[in-house]
Amino acid sequence: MKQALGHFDNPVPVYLLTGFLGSGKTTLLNRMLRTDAPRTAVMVNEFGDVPIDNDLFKVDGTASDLIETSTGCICCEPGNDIVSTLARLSEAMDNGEVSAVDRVVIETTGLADPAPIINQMLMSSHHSIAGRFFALAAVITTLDALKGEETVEERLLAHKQLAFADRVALTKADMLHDDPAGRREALAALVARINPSARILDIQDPLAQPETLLDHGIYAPDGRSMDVLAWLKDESPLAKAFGVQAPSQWLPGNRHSDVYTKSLVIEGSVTSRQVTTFLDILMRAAGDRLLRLKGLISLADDPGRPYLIHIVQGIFHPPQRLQSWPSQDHRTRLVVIADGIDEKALESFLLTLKPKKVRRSKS
Amino acid sequence: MSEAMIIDPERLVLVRKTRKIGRPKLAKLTGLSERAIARLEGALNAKGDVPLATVHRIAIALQVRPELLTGQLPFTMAALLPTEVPDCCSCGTCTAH
Repeated sequence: MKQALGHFDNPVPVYLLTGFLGSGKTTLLNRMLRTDAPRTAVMVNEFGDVPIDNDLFKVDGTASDLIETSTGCICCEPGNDIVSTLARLSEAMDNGEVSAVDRVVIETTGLADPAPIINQMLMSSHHSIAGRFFALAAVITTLDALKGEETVEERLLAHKQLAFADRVALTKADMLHDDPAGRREALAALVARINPSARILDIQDPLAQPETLLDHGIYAPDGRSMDVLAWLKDESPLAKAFGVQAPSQWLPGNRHSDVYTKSLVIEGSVTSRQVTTFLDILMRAAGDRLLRLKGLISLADDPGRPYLIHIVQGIFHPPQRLQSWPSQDHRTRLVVIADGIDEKALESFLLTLKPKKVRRSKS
Repeated sequence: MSEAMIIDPERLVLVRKTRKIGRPKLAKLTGLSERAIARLEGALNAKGDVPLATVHRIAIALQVRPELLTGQLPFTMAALLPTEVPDCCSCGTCTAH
């Protein structure tokens, strides 16, 4: 029997909406939340603004939305963290002050670094928040078609917002006048360089359905509802670049500024001890310059049950042992987004995860 | 430069593991005993200064700059990249490797 939302088997999905100042987050939010949308709690975080109702929820009569406002930046101000805000939401639901919600959208300030927010969410996702369960579903980043490229070039923060996106909403593309097709291609190339796994949606496209940006979650940490392949989406570029039978390979480095992406696919299984050592050394040597690492690893003790690992800006999140592989491809895969780490050195190090020799598995 | 150095035990373990070399192999490559390697890695008691030449031999075997082992160089990805270590550090203090 399907559990109601807000329980461990069926957590309330939380979407993080980020994007640089003026890139169209609020406009997108309004478009994503149609009147017939599932009941959504919206948490708006306006840096430095005077709150309308300090730390209180507002329920708008007919609309399905719930609004939380707070001052300060949720990525860096203690006491304004996502987890306590969600706990307050949970309490309000339990007390009957607000009815249950089907999902939560957190709109960050344009100057928020998404990494600490993602970390807060993922760290808390392994225990219940005030008796209820929320889970980070996806990071959506708005990219301004007019100024986005320049901003991303100049601002590391904008770069990171893009690097952490699962879905990129291209905004203001209707305002492109000089060679709009060419500009769109350039923007798509920009996203592909920084974050090849992100899905891009041009929200000005008449056929675009912005609400699909809030489709089912891909971060959901229970391993059952999670769409692992979507989360670890190095599949398609890999298939294009090397073909499915490719041995240990690199994706071409996606160099842009100091932030770049590396993907690795290796054959054979490794021991959990090797993985522990590998991650220990990687975390020590890379620190918070390791913006993100996503990995699906074939472990020698039970190669049928892959190990899912996730590091966000130097923080290692509780790994999971999946019940099975999400596809026929049982190779170990790693996707790394690095900031300013010597590229050759990182390549060289990542390859150390490769098993020395393929051992026969004991039957 | 002094003639004796202290190897950071943790660094030595991490670098050795990065190179996927076991203690026996490192012992063979450096001419040190396995017990000596274990001591340097803090696994046994009595660790202290070691001759610069020993640090150098280990650095050559592990293909890292000696300063990474002594902790004078930050532990970074770039520092872990396999490096050709010159046979002699030209410091004038070591006469044999």
